[in-house]
Amino acid sequence: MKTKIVIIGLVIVSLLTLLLFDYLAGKSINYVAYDIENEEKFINEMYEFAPELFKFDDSGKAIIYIRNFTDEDGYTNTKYETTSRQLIFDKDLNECDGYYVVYKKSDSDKLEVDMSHICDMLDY
Amino acid sequence: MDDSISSILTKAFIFYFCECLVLWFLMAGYTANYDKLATTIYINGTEINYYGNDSYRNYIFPIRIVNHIDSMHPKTDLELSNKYIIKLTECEVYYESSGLRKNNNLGNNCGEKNDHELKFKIVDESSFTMKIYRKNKLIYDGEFVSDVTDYISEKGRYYFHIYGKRRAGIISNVESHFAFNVVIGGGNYED
Repeated sequence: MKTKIVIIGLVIVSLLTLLLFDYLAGKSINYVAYDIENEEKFINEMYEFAPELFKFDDSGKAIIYIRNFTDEDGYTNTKYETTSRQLIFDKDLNECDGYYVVYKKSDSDKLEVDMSHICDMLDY
Repeated sequence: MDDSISSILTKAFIFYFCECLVLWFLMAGYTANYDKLATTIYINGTEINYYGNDSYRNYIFPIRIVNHIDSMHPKTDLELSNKYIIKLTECEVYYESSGLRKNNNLGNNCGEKNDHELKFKIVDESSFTMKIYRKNKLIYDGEFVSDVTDYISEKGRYYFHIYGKRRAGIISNVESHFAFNVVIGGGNYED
């Protein structure tokens, strides 16, 4: 009886283990949408190098289109070579080529970045 | 259950878990060399840059190998036209000199650009489905269709996804996903 329990237990454990690995491998298919910390860092670096791209309104808000600082291949334009950015995709592998909404706060040097529109499918 | 049996069972489970782990990685290494195909996509004769991946699956031994095809910026500009035809070609790639198969096909197309060191064998192994998005809305979801004129009605940016599935031996298959976007007629700046 004990032998049967052990054998059945081992079979179940092995199957669950394999299914776990399969699930983990499957998770790696889709690209991570984006790394929020990296994107925030990138925008703040870009603000240092190319403040002319950031046209803030009276309330301290600016809309920054991704295409403003990328070249034809989607990577950072070489004139901003001091910083770099990877292509980013949403979970379905759509290229994110939308825009950032950036807020300048009077009490902080760091920009606040709203990334909810970076994967918007702009029509151009 | 007394302590000695409990201890033996615990060790047995740990041993078995480790064995599965080793076996999985061995199988992953072995199956990573599954036969890969090169894929070329054209719309109206213009070669399309795409981003994608292959996912190899074995059904007996539940294993999945993912091969990213991260070749180029997946955006292509196209002229406005009254007809849009997608041509998708899959091929096996061989070295011209030795005749051996080249299994890393990243960045290779199916030979329509002349490459003297490689030769290409066009194959028809996959079945495809397709999705088209525009402005974050799904405008087509179904079988792969070559003529997409009905879905590209005007200037703008269209996001395509082509999903392929083919057998790779008796108990395994390969699922592919190609993603790209095209800007038609310079885009639509009305939004």
